[in-house]
Amino acid sequence: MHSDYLLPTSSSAFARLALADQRRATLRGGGGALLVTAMLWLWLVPLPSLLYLIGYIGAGALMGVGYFLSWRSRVMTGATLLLLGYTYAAILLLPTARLDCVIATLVTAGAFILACDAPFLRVALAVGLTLGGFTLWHWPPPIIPSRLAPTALVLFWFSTGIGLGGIGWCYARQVAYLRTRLGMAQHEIVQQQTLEATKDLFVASINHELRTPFMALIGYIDILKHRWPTMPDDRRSTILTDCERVGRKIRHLLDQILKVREVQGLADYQPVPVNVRAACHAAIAEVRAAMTDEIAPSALGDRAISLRVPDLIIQGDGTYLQQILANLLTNAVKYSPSGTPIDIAAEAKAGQAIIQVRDYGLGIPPGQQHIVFERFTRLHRDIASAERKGTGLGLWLCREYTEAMHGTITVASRGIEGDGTTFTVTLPLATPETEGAKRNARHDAHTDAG
Amino acid sequence: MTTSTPVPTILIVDDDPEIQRFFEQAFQDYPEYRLILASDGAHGLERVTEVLPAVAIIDLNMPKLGGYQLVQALRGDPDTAAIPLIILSARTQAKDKRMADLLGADLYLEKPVVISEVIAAIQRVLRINSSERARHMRQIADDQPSGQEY
Repeated sequence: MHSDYLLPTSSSAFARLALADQRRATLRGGGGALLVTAMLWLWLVPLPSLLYLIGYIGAGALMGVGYFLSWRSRVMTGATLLLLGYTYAAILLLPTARLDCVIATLVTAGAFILACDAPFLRVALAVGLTLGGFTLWHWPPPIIPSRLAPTALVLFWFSTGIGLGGIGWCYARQVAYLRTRLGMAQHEIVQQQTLEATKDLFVASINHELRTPFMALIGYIDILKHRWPTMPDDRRSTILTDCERVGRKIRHLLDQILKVREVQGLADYQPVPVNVRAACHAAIAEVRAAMTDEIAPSALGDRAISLRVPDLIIQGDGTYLQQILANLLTNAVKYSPSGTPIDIAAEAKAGQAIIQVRDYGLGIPPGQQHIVFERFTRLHRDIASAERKGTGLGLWLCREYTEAMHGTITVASRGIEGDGTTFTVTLPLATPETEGAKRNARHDAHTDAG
Repeated sequence: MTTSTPVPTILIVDDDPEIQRFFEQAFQDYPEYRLILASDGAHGLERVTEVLPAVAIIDLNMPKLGGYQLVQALRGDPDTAAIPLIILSARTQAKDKRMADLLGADLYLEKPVVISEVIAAIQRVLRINSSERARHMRQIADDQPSGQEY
């Protein structure tokens, strides 16, 4: 019964699930009981006086309000009113005591107990049986005609059993709901702890990443400060060049860190037609320039880039797409040996542009692929690696940019060195309504490519 | 007749090319030392056994063989156990310093440092004699860490 709660995807999904389930249970248990009880009253019970009629209406009203409140999640108040309603009805309907009726009641209630697995339901039925037995043996009422007494008694207790069962069911659902809330709280705590741990790791990583180039930069400045007058020009020039290069590295690291904040407003953009091929060319140029600055460890110059991208036009943002492709390319360079090729391919399929970037490098173990798009996340094998430094933000940014354009990004790899990794970005193609803009984008593409 | 004092060899084991370039530049102003570089822990271990440096300066985060493992290997080998070891790392947590101390490193420097601080550290560890180091190691072995540098 509670298996729905075992694998929540988020707190809000958790809450929606719990509330919907609780309402369904209340409707099933409580609504059924109310209906049966009302039918019994109308069919079996004579109305000897106006006082009884008023009494029945009052009991029915109490039960109705009780069920309504239970359904509205005010379970404690609702259940109290239900109990009052049934007690009132029981006082009004006390039937003649008969042993066969008691046995029938016990059998009916026993069947209910066996059929239900909620502890609260068992308690409620046990209370109902005790009260029923006590009433039958010690307080035989003279209202119902003798020929209808056995049937009326069985049906009355049957309905009472269902009613009490309904109350019990509501309580059981409430317990389940509270358990769910507890689960939500635990889930949130675990999420928070994971995020904190990841942040700590990120801060430690950034600390390490920044301190190393800063050591070189400060060290060079210190040398210049102390040796400037006696330093040969060529050495001075070399050191200044080194300073500039290290400074660029630091700037690149800071850019990556600052992008974490930028993504908060990613969805607020005006989608325009974007030429995928032009974005690929721009991304290659961007990565090539970055490599020239020695920001990445190996050069793009010795890579054969196979570009099989037709003139596809997506509806999105050119800067986002270029950033996605540049990050994927940088990744491909970082995680594959120098000299191995990189493939970029794209095709149109079912209204979507499917863009793939593949390298022939280390690959990503299948068991770790689900974390690569998480913020600050780096694979364990890369954390201690000198060649593969990083902030753990590149692929996360790719996902954020892609989702901002209503697309998806996936990774496929067998985790075998040399077999590499394929990242697939799927983005919506521009619609026919944007044909005019599409022509403009194509024109831009030719201009860029030229 | 003059006797030439051998130039102390300083081995720097750091995988970061920027740090290596920096030390190459910086040691040009200190001809009284001979600089040797190694790009990872395993390479560093090879170089130590080849040249038996006067001092080894070791980074912690390195591929193949990490800084801790290198320190452990050097202290465990009788031929290299007496070499003064300096850790030069971007790690700033107390537990890293404690670990380095337990494994037998003589000094822990946090990046960034300037060359004069590195030279001062080299001179400092060169003054530590083997009996002092042995006493310190015994203290660690007795689980009575001094918590102090020499």
